[in-house]
Amino acid sequence: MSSYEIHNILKRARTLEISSPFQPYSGVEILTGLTDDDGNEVIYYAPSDPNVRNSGRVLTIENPWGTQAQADNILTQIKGFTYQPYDATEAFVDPSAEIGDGVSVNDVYSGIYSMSRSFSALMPADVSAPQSEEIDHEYPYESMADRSIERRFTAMESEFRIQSGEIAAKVSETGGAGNNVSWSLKSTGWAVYSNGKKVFEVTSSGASVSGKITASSGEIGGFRIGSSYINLNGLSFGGNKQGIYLGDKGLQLGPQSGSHFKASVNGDVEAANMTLTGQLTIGGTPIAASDLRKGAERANSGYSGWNGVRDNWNNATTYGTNTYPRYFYCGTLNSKDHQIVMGEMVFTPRFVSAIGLWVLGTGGVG
Amino acid sequence: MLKFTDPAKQAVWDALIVKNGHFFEPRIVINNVGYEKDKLIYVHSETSVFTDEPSAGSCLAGELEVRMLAPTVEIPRMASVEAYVRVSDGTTHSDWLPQGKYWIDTRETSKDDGLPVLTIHCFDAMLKTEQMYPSTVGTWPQTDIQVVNQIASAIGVSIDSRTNLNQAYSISAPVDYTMREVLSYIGAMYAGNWIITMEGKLLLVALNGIPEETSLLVDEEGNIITFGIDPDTGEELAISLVEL
Repeated sequence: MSSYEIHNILKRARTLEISSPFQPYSGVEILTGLTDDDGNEVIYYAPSDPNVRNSGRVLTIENPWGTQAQADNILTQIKGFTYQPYDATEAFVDPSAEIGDGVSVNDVYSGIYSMSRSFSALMPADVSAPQSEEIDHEYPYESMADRSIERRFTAMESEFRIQSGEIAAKVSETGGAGNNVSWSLKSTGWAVYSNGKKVFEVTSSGASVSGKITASSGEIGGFRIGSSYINLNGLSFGGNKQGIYLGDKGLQLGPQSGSHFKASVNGDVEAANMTLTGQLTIGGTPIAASDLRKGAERANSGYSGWNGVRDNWNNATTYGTNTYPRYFYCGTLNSKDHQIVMGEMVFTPRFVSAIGLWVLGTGGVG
Repeated sequence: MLKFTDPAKQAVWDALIVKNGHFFEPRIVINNVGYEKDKLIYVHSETSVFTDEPSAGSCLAGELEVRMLAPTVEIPRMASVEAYVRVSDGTTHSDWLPQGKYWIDTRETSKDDGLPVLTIHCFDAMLKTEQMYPSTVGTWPQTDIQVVNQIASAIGVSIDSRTNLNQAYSISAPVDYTMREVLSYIGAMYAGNWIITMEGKLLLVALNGIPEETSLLVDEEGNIITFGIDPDTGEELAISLVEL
């Protein structure tokens, strides 16, 4: 059974070293190790105002499952907490004292964050609230995580330089730490890890990258990477090689002089053949397949009224005393209702002919 | 602060610990065989939530080093090692108070004045979290407490009742992460660090989790001065203010 208690060491220790308390915590940063669409690391801050956040000490943590709510909750928890460093060696602390207990040392109050104990008649213990060499940070500083990453990169760089002449013979090493960046060099290949995930690997079959790649030139699988394009078989935009071009001018598949598909950045599209399986929209109007008619279907007598247009140029029709030798119309055939007729009309019995457009509404010829 | 669950045993400890001339005696149990001061030369333990500066998300393993007259019985590989201590005045002894449960990592034998000496270096159960998390088991996401329960079960410990995971944060399948990394991330979510307690339980120690400071009057030994029993609570009354 345990509970957090307070132990009074007072001055009963071989050595006592008490430093100034750190500034109270005023902010939280969660480094997720993930990147957004722009390639920037996703970091959650609490509070969002950097001036307020950095007004005291900032707790920086790494967490791929971090959220903004989490950062806010952590800040609520630690805001205003002041860490009091101290180091007491060979202190007389009850063996029932545990990590997390409070401790009063020479009129200073702190916690037991580190404890080493010798099992002897007096059971003396070294207890402390540790601190690094940098006592406290009056000004913005690199976080623990930042320094940790920096140290590991520096260490890696140093080792590679030193061992560059030995790599061929010494091929079974690992380094770094799983939490950030680490590496592995073995007889089967070498790899770089980030947060425990393999991001780069070289084996006898080649190199593989998991994550972001940035390149301004080069070639991958026959695709040439230029400064503003990727192409296959050297095809340029508008060029006549049998290849692929994707770049700042647009997209082209196949030679310009032959069957090809081409789409410019201006929206001009050329295609040798095209089959549309989805929606076609022209000028903002969706066009369904049933809206489209070609030659034979236009002459089909099954379409009438405003739903269709008939082409009856070769048919002659008599309407009243007038004859329509050639015309086409919209509306109901042989009705005075709602017709638009374009064509040739012969007025009988005066045999006067005319060519023009008539609107036939209810009640007679217009 | 570790206490006996049996109030009578705790009363003995409390009485002896404030007694002048009290002393402590260690006991080490290796693979269920106990060794006491006549066999033990040196015993030293270390536990920290962090070693450099205040942080969150650490999972540091506790360590124990024991030098002792080499036992005649064979000690298996990775045998369990339990440390205990008791307080005594030479006549009365307390019960054994646990000081951690460990497993042997390295061992070395040597001679000291012609006597065979065994030195073992041990780590607590936190070292067992250096195994890949079985992310393919179960459905995801899961809550943080579900994940911590699975890790505790995998390393054979229970969770200390002081561990407070009250937000039920959602955890995606931790692919390619060790249990230690997963614990670390969850600890960081609560601004805390994980340790294995002296009772061998998994405990999340919040960075700011120390009890509130008191201003109770203590003697030169650091013991709280009391003057009677509170009739309502039955607890000893401490002096928090002296006015002259």
